[in-house]
Amino acid sequence: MNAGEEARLIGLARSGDYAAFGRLVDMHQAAVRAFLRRVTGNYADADDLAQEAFARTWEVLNRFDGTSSLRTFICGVAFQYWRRARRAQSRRDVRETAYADLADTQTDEAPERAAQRLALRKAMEELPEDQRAALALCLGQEFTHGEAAEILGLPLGTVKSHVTRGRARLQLALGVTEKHDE
Amino acid sequence: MSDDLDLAGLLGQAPRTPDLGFRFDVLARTAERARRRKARQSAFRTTTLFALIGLIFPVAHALGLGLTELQPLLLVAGVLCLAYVLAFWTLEGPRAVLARSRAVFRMRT
Repeated sequence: MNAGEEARLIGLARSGDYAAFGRLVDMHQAAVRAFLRRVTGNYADADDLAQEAFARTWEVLNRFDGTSSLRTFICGVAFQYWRRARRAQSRRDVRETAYADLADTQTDEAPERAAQRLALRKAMEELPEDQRAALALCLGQEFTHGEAAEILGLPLGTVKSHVTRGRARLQLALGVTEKHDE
Repeated sequence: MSDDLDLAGLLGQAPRTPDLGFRFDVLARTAERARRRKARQSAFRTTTLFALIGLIFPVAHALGLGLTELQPLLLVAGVLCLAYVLAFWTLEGPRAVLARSRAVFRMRT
């Protein structure tokens, strides 16, 4: 879908057209949900947050000025929701539920891969919030560093640094030696 | 196993789209939030209105006005309130008599 069509749908959604907003949800749900799945490590929580983020986007769509892409705008809202939810649930022990989460999301994968996934999640849990979010945005190549900087409200250099360091931490968790090919 | 895409895949896969169930849930949640917001605003309006009505008598008393002096004013206020309630009920009530007219107004705005 081109930018003109998206702008038309945004205009319709602003005037209260739920069908147009539904199409916008379809267009951007993959990127938003993937980001939240990576950052939360739990598919159910991620989808719950994504729904909240989209619902909030509907309310604040008038604030979208078009200087960035709508996808970036929605991910910014999603990031705020994730940060708030994380603070609210900081006492929950994620490690205890990690195995259960694995069973929920990937039932047919090889045990080696499940172990890698668990190691990665643990490593992600230990990263600072901003670094974790930057990795979740940039690793899947769905967002550029510039877009991630807009979403997270950080300088571009900081995002690049977060991604490089975070990637090294994840590779370390998997027992992979760091490459210096940046 | 150091490829970024592989790492991203391990951390969480993007869902297959379009996921109609997800869209439905988002729209349901959006409508629910709109309903709650409207209910909140309505509760706020009602509370404010009754608080203002409740304030009339203490304020009048403080200004030295008795019930006799206030009677014409209260009569007019009562008639206006009744007219407002009737108009509101006609436009927005469960059996909106003027729903068609309202739809026409909405089209033109």
